[in-house]
Amino acid sequence: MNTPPTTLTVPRQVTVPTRTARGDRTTWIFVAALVLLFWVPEAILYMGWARFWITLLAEVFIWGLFAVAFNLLMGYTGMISFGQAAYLGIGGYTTGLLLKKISGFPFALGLIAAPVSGALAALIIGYFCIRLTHTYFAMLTLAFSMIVYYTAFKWYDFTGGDNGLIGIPVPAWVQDPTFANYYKFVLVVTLVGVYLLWRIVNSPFGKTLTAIRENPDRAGFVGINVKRYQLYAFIVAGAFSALAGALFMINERSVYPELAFWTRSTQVLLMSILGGVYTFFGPIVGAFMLQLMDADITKDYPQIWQLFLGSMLVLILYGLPGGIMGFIQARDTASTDDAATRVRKAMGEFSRKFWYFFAAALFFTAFFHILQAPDTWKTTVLLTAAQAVVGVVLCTWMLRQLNTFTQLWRVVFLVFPLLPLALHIALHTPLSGLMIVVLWAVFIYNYLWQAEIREAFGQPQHVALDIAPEAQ
Amino acid sequence: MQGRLWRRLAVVAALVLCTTTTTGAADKPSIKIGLLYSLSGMAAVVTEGTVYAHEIAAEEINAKGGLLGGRKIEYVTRDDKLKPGEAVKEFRRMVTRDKVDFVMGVISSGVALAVSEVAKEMKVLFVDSIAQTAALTEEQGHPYVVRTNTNSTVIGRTAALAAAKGPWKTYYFIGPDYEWGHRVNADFWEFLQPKKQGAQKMGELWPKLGERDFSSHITTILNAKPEAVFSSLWGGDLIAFVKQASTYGFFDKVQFVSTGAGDLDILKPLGTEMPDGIMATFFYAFDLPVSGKEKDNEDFVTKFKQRAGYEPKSGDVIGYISTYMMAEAIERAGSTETEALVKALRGGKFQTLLGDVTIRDFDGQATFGYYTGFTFSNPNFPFKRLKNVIRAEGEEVLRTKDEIEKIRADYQKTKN
Amino acid sequence: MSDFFVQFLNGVTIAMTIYLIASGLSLVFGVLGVLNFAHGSLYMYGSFLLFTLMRSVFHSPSSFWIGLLVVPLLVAILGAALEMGFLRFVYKADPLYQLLLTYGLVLIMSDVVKLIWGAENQSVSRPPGFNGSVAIFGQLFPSYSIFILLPCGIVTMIGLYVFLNRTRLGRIIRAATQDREMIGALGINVRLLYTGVFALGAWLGGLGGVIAAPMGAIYPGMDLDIIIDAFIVVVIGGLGSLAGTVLGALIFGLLRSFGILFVPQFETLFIFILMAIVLVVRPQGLLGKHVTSGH
Repeated sequence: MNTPPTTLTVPRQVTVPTRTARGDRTTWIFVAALVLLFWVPEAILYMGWARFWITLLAEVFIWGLFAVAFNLLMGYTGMISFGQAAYLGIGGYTTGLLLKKISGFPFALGLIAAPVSGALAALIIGYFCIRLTHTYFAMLTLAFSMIVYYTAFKWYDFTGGDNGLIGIPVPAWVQDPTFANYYKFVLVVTLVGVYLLWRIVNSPFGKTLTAIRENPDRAGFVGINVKRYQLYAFIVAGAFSALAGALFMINERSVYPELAFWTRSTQVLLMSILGGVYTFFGPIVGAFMLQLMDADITKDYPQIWQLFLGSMLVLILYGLPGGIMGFIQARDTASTDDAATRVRKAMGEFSRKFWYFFAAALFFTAFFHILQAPDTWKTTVLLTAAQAVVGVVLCTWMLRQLNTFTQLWRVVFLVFPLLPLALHIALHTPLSGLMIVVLWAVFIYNYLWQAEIREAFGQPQHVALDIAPEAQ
Repeated sequence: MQGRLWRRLAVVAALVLCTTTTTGAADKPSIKIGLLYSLSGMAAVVTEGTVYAHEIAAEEINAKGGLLGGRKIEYVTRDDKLKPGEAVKEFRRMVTRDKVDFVMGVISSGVALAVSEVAKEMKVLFVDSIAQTAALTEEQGHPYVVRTNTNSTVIGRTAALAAAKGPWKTYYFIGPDYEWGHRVNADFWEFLQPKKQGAQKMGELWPKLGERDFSSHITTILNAKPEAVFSSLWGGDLIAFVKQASTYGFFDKVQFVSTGAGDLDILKPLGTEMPDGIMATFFYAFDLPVSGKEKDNEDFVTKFKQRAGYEPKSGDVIGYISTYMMAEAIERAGSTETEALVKALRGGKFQTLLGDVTIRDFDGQATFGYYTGFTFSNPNFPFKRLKNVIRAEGEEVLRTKDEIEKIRADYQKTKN
Repeated sequence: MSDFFVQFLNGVTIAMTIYLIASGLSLVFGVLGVLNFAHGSLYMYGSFLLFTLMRSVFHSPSSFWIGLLVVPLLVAILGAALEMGFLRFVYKADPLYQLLLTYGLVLIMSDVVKLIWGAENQSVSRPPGFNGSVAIFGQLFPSYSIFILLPCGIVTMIGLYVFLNRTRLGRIIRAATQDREMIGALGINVRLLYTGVFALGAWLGGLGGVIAAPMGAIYPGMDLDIIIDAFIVVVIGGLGSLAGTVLGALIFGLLRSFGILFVPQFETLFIFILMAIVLVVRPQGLLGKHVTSGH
């Protein structure tokens, strides 16, 4: 038999070319993100829905952390775990039990206990799991997460059984009615967690993991102890997942066995695939999008939420296996092309993808509009058609201007997403606006700001900020 | 140059229109009430009708001019998926995004406890319309939770009152393995023991919620040869249990006492497969109205049948009653402000479709009565009905103030 | 001793029910290499289709027999449609991607069931003549289990064995589990074969749905409840091995029935622990072939 597929071999696009001076720049991005996001509650406090968005964002951050930890296993090491939620449960219950059963237990210690217990559990569980591959690995992780679930469920005296632990004492400053403090706390913890994961992924350790994903046999031949590295990855993922679990617990002030139920594992799986498993930030994007859609769809149409999720999953697996970030970031290049050809190819790709983006934005906007106001669907459809016509005409023109390689147009493309963002804020839907705008900005940036393209636009070369590293 | 400018403006306008999603909800002067039920999963069959009943009540009230000088009732309905985490999330969203004045719901006892905790913290009123665990108003009670239904104590004790009248002494217990099951079984047993000399508990079984196959449970019970079996199973579990047990001749051998069997969501699917002579407790039967309320009941049943396509059951009528009780409270409070509502509710007396009811001020529990009956075949219906009905008054079977204070004190001790 | 026998027979009936469902799962995995998450959904559709047939089309409990014949065929058609429409495009991809795809199908089919049949519990009665019980060694057992469930299970077992081991088509299918490309090279229409096997798996799932329906409640959500149990059974017995599925089902059933007798609190936990132990100690399952790197 031929070499059997040992890894995720769904065809995917080649990713962005390597950059060298990148690490420190990205640290600044994290810092910038921290500062910007930190003041969101104050910025939007005057808006009626402020508390809702703050809590939603906080939930997104926690899911984002969990998804990035999960993706360490899936995207970077090639191990698909169906039981990652076990660590959510372990982390949540550890912190919950410590804080509730031992009165006066310091909060910070309780929080730190979560990743520690997660790492320990992952060490034990991982020891058994890494001996298997693929389907069997997935099944075993599933079995372990159900064991955690049922243990929490049945152990009524210790864990509160199916009721869970309710009313876990958290420090007063977390509990303010505007949720602002809580949001900031979650932001800081998750950002630190994600940053640490980022460092891990870009360290030699992380590179080794990717090598293992690509071809475990070859990695073994090179002298890497494959199993040990997989175990390390498992432990790291478990630790950070447990931290996310503790954060979930703080979010709800209670912890329930369902935190470890297998459907939660599939949720994070969906997020990662949606956002893109081959990029670091993909899962975060996926988490954001999924939570946002969840808030919008389950609001009025809970009965089709699963239908929607399933359809999306199927569509992504077929059409967009790299997820959204994969779509945005990937570039089709061959090392044999010269600079001019590369630029030409890149611009061509940019134009093509621009239209996909445009069509998707139109479609989803119309779709959600109709969901919110089904009676006016005819108007919505007409309006969308009109936008499509106008947009096609104008964007064709704009793209053609772009191909003249004048500086102005490059800047225009990069800057115009700010307009819809401002309008979204004015119209009280900042989160969807933010999401569309950020994706759009990353997409445009990724194409129009790369060094080669820049040169083509007649600019002196700077060392570019690379906010989306390749994940090879 | 002009053309370019216009085109640019058009681009901007088009793109702006493209990326617009929903606008924020326009503020209307309506009274927004949150409904949090399980619209999917095992319990969906139970709560679909509840929501209809809530809506019928709101329509009636709105048709008469609304509340507080013309404000109409508007519902925000969400699904808690029978999971505490989801419920908490939706509860928060309802309060922060949809700006509801208070929330009514839920069906699951575990979910209710979780939501109650959040209600306490956010100081938002939570009106429990279905979930039955006594812990909600006892150990974990607080001013912002109120229950417009009976509770597990009432159910267990009403069954015990009726069971004590029978000759059975040896009991086997079965119930779904979660808060509700454990509570009801315990309440039944505690109340029965002093009333029945020589009562013996032979054993207990706790199948998981959603268990499909009860054959092992059935044979285990039959092997122990009890005189009666007390069950707190409900929904699909109870249906499966009855179907499977009847083929073992179960119901000829033991007296089955069931807290769920009296209701339509069980009686209808089973039809003639439901045995006669089962002792069942129930909150409401559409063909057995409270005396003095026959006309109102008939009106409600007709309206409900038109809306839903089936007769209302206990879980449904409670939606109707809860909305009316809250409407009354809003009128009495003169506003929808939480503190005022809490004051109007606690200690308040209300006239409902099921008679006069008080919401006790020390625990927020309503004093509804409860019924026990025996199943029999009524030729007018393709499903079984109930006869030899005994009613237990709320005060008879609810825990007294002293009992509750003791429970709360004990609970506080175990917390520290 | 008769207690023991009672619980034993109970365990066997539980085993038979889960075997019918798990056999389709195992067969599909063995040949196509796909662990079909949506198998539980096919089982669920089998039950619901039987419900519609018996309640709305024929209005009579004796139409159960018609259902027994017709519904699995309908589910097989559904399965073939799923295979042709969705699965066949991702065979080249990693099996886990196929697993994810089937999970997407689960989500879709789960909501579609609710849209078509509503969210309520449904119930169908047993066919006339099989409502009561029969005495075996002084203990009463449901005649449905003894005369319909057990025989169907045994016939299915024997039928599958004969089909796979004694017919040419069966030999081809078994060969396909070893080496897909060789089969294609020998001139067999692999595509058709795959669709056929998947349809057969769906047929088995639908059959399971029909047989299980009169014994309990029919409700949306029964797909997820059953698929985890089916996974446990095929993992313990050995993915791809039909004899293993029988053994796995027996262990599952007996553990269930005796577990309830002796350790009622923990029997669900035990089953998962057993699953974990088998995966760790002997990942190919008790009767499975050694794990090839392709799986």
